[in-house]
Amino acid sequence: MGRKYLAALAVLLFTILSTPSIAQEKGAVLEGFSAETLKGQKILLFRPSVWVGEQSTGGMPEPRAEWTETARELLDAELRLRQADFNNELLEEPTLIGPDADMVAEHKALFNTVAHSVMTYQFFYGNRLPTRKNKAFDWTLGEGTRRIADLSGARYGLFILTEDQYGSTGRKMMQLFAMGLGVGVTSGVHKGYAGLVDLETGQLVWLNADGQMGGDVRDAEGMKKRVAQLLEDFPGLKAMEMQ
Amino acid sequence: MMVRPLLLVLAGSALFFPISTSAQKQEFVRPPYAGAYEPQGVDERGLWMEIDEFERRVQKAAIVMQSHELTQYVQSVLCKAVGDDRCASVRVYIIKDSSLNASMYPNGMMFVHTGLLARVHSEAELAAILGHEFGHFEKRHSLNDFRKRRTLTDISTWVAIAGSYARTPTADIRNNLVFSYYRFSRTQESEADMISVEYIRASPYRLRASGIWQRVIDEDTALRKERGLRKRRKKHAPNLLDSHPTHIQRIEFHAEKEAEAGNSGDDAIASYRAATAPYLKELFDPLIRDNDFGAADYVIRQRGAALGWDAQLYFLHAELFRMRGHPRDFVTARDLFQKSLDLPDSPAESWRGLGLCAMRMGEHDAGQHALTKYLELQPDATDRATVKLLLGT
Repeated sequence: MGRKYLAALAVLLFTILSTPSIAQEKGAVLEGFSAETLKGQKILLFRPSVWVGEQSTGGMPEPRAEWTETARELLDAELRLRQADFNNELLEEPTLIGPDADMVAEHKALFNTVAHSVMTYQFFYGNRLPTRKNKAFDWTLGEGTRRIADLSGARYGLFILTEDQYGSTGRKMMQLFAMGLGVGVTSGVHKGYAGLVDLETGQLVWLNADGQMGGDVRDAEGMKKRVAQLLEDFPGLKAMEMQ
Repeated sequence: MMVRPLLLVLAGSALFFPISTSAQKQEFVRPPYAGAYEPQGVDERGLWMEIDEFERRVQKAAIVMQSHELTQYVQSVLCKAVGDDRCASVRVYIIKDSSLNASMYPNGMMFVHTGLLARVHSEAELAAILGHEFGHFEKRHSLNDFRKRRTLTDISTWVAIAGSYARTPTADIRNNLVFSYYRFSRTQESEADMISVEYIRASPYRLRASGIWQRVIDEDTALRKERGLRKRRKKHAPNLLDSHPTHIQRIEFHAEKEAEAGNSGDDAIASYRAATAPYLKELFDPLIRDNDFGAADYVIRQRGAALGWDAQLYFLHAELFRMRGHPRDFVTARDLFQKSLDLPDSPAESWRGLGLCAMRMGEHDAGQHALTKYLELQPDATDRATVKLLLGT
């Protein structure tokens, strides 16, 4: 009888608490796109989406304002530092009002949706839609992005997202006890992605996503590592050592 | 960093509001306003951070009805309900959604659904709902809810692990933890209802909330009847997984409080009709498109009975029938479109509806006439090409 419960619990804990850790692709570049294409073009950096918090014992995300604020500042600082490594000029998102602001907001939301589709239906082998099977990396936001290019003077748009849940002490303790039962429980969530869009055509030209990122975004050293990971394989980077 | 809205902190009395037995309105005084509020502690700061980010997206979201005038009006009703100092901490967003709902976020963002505005019949009724939502905000219910959920999921996890080590089943214990969460949620909802009563009794409005919940029951009955389902049994006590008290419990609670409060205060029915009349299309559109014919029909009829029928309301009612599209519906719809056109300020689309109904009923000439009239009145209609196709011109 005990065994039955143990097995049931193992299944329960596995399904509820663990995140899929099956290997998947992390990035893709549009065919024919290279550092050459990007040379001399301006890149608009959209306000990054940053969320940092804790993970409770039961697995609930707990937002932490200080950590998020710190991470946002560190990310800005790190990207500014890395400006020198880019072959391109990075522009900040202009402050807009009226219909243009709505239009930009809509495209940011659209990018999120498209990026998630890429991650789910292209990067994830076992999950590829029939329409995406064996197809090249070919995704677009539509030509509506041209207006953003006109407004900002940038040819490309760079989107960055990070989400980090650090395992709380309780979560880590629970992980140990679950291990004693032979059940694997993850502690913490660290995911992020960065994507580049050709604003003239709306075409997604590069996407790099990782469900298990490294680097503690709450300190400068860790953020350096995180940004290096986010920009890994970015076509516009000068040749340099990756950490 | 954005300036945080203000929230009131109560000057340390144990009782939130002095409860008076008298029905005299002036004896209800709101507790003093104590100044700016910034979120306190790790959890609350975290929640505000999260919702502040969310609100940035909400501001630009297509689901928000962009009417400054109507939003201002709802805000003004909130201000009268809870007082000017308090309402300054709230930002109202009208959400295009058919459900009778409003929601409050911990940072002072308030959602009011068009489905709510379509269903209430006076400022007093609206104020009772807005007061309930503001009660959640003032008592920081989102924060309590977050902490409760965290504590319970933590306990549940440990119980599961301990049970596994001890080889003892724990499902009952963990189910009870889930039930206790919903019990907690119902307690918070009841508290918000009570606070709302106190706000309204200190406001210029008459206390009128029970009617809303009665109509919710009647609407459900109408919908079930239309679908040939058995009427729902009267539900006096909540189920284990109900997040709110039952409608009957809320009717009983409010009816009792309304009897206590008597007739003092203003319903503000005429001003509610006047403020919402220009937006009937936006308010009823999600309802009409919801494919819940019985519910939409009930809500439109109720509005007509309570606030009077105007050309726009007849038009919307006609559209509801036309879009369901049974042969018998075209007869009803045509009649309603005609009623709309007999009144001043009927929308040009009434001619379109009249024409389409006539065509579907095989009355080609009458249809042609009405559709031509529609295009005359609305030369740049978005469906001009389709209509011209029907006209064969």
